Amino acid sequence: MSAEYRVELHDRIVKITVKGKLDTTSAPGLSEELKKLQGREIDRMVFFVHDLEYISSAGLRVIIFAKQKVGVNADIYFIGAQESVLDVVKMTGLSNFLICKDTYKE
Amino acid sequence: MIDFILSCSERVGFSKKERNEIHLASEEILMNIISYAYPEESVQGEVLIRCTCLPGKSGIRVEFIDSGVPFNPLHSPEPDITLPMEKRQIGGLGLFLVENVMDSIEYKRTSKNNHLIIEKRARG
Repeated sequence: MSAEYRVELHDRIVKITVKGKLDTTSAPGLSEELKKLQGREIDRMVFFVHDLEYISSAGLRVIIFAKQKVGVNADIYFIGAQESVLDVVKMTGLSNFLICKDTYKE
Repeated sequence: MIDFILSCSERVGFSKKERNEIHLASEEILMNIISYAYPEESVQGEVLIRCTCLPGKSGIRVEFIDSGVPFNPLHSPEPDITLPMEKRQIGGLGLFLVENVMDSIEYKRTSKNNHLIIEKRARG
């Protein structure tokens, strides 16, 4: 299984739910979905990744793209990451610039 | 191709975390070869993958061989992982991840081929 994802924008908050594997195959599709939000006012982007089993550099590029091109002034949340996914995020130092939590409060 | 490498790694007692890391390294290396080894669209490229169990099933050795343009990934600049996301380059993390999750990475160029060899030892 590759990734399944859902992107919703409501009250200047983007919620992105990702399941499966965010890799070379699936990451470009999610980037395309996020591109549709370029130019919108966004305060917060929340990645719900409880069911994300795997992330590669292609998946990390989606998160960097989200910050650089979509939610420039937004805080980026990374919620519920499994250990193996969080390890990769930490390895690249991105965890220092994401708000990584087990659960999300509105 | 990655499934083949993972099936080889199943013969060694790798944990789920270690298998994930082998998956990650394999994807990053293969994407690098596919993206850069054969820049001319008309060229049909091949990648040979050779998996070997280390003695006593103590780990795995994977060799990626391509006949594309010479490219030593070990000479790629390291990304600055202290930079905030807004200052990061979009690329450059792949090989950095390979170096972090594998125990060794070696490159050699033979007459016409790039050989990239990675090893990982099982820790259980």
